[in-house]
Amino acid sequence: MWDHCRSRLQSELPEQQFNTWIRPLHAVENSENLKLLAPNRFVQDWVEENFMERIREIVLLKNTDLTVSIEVGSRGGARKEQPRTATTSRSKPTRSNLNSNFTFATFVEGKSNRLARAASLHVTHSSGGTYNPLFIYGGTGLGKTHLMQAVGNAMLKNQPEVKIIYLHSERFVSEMVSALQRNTINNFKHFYRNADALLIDDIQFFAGKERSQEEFFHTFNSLLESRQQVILTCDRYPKEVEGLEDRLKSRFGWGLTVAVDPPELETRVAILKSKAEQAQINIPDEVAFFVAKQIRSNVRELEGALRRLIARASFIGKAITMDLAHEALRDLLAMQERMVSIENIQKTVASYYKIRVSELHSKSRRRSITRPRQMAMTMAKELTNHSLPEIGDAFGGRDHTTVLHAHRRIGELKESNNRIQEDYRNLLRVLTT
Amino acid sequence: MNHQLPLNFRLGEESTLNRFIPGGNVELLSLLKRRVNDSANIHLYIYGPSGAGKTHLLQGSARECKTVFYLPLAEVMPLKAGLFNALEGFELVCIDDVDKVAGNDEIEVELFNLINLLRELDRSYIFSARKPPDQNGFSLKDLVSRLKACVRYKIHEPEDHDKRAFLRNNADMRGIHLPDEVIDWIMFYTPRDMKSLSSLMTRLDIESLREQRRITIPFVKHLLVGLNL
Repeated sequence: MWDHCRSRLQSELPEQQFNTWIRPLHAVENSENLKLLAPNRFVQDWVEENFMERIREIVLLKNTDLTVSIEVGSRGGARKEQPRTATTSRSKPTRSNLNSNFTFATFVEGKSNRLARAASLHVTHSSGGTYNPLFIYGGTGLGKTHLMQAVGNAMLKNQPEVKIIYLHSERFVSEMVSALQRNTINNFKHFYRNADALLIDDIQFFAGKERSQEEFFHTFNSLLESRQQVILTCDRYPKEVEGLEDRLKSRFGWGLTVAVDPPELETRVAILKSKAEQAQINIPDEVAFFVAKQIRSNVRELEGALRRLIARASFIGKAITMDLAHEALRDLLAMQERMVSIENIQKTVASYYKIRVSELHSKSRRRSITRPRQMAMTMAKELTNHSLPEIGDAFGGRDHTTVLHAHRRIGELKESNNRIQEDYRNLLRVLTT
Repeated sequence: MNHQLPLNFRLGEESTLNRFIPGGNVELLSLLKRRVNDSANIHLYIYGPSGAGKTHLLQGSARECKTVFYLPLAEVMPLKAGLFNALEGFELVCIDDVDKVAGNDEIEVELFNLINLLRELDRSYIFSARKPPDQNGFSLKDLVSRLKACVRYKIHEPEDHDKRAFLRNNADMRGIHLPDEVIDWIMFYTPRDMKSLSSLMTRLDIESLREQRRITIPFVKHLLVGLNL
């Protein structure tokens, strides 16, 4: 019957509507009922509202008196919308949902992530020890999830029976809500409090969710008390997360807090080479440098660019060359250049230091102006393709040697002055993401 | 005047990959076809102006796949929470006009979760939007970074000669004769985005059959007056 309904609807409905709402439906039929299964509540409601009347008509026209209904589910039985695990308690160790590609072997180490990597590696050998919790923070797409899961994978490799739970904080929240609704909160608690290691990604999403924070707080304490490892990632330093309870912020600092910074050029190149190797593609050094120079913001974007190169190479059946890279990434690079202009850098730097753009152009030699000016020149040198004389010109007609000096000076200060290092990182992050 | 009633089936309207006029999108089209043939995993983000063929490509990819969910967000506004629930069960998820999510914090997070799940389960996904990921006004940076990890293609609008080829092929497929001078006229006087041209062909097909007339410039003019073009 459903096949008949489908073909009628296919001839009656615009293609888009048929593809969106009718195609994903499954049907369970017997002599009395035609039960349609929608993938989620949204589709169920939409079909109910817009198509059920017609479906019932088609059924009636076939001279059958089947009862037609729709619910959320799939052919294997009614499906719960909330994904996986915690709503039912599992006492036996289970296969973890870690991504097996995220290992220390596939993680490219650089200056920007050395400490975080070393700390993570340490945790694999002494889980639940001093570095508990291990709190890894940094911008999006810099490898936090990779490191966290690498720990989990290494622990599993050492002891296949350990129970390691990895999940995104949003999922923790949604599973908790679902457990509350189904009155299975005890199972939920039991499930998470019995993990050998709990890895929670992007805990900034807990912000403002008080009930979830409370539940997490107890889970967290319970795990720490029994010396089970907790690893958390966040897009910023714990104390900077607004809407997170102070007691959580403070507890997050009990173990070790490490930062992952945007990778420097050499690391970006190494990442590209490593990912290309994994894809069994050869990417020449000059191409890797070219791409890495253009894309600084995060590893995911590098990955996207590399995939595009591979798609192009595979399409034309040739190896990756500079010409191919220029051609394949033309749109992407044009966009990148448009976004980071000297003007934009000057505006951003001036606003960061709370001074006027005109002061960056001025002759003022006050420290409060010269430092931001040197920082802006450094950003312009590193983030644009403008020549040094062009950059000098854009800063009130200064000589190119001034730009060179500014770049060197900021380079030195970055090493010796934490404040300058922080400013540099923040500005780089704002300008490249 | 006796009018013939046209049959209610629409030959030549299905958005298949084979019917897509590639123009400057040969590489993108080949990637999509390859996905269909070898079921290779794909994470794709296609952006470009309206009427350039994004929907056609998404629908064309969707119709070749057995377990697929194709969702045109522009058609289901206002967006409601739960929209993306349980979609990870599909082999391929195609979301048209993904930029419609921008500014809706709750739905942005739901989309972000969906992408994480799809990646975790090794599923394929194709998104379309008018602009690159970081220019759509998404407030969730994590979402932008995940969209940036997709293979990104800017869809190139077809050139006029591609559009002429489309009109010719479409007419052939429908079994109607579309003289060159009519094509010239259409290209000169009517909106030339693919969506408009495609719906014009459908109208021409239906109306010429209904009125039992050949397609000539006066007939097209007569039809367009009715269409208020």
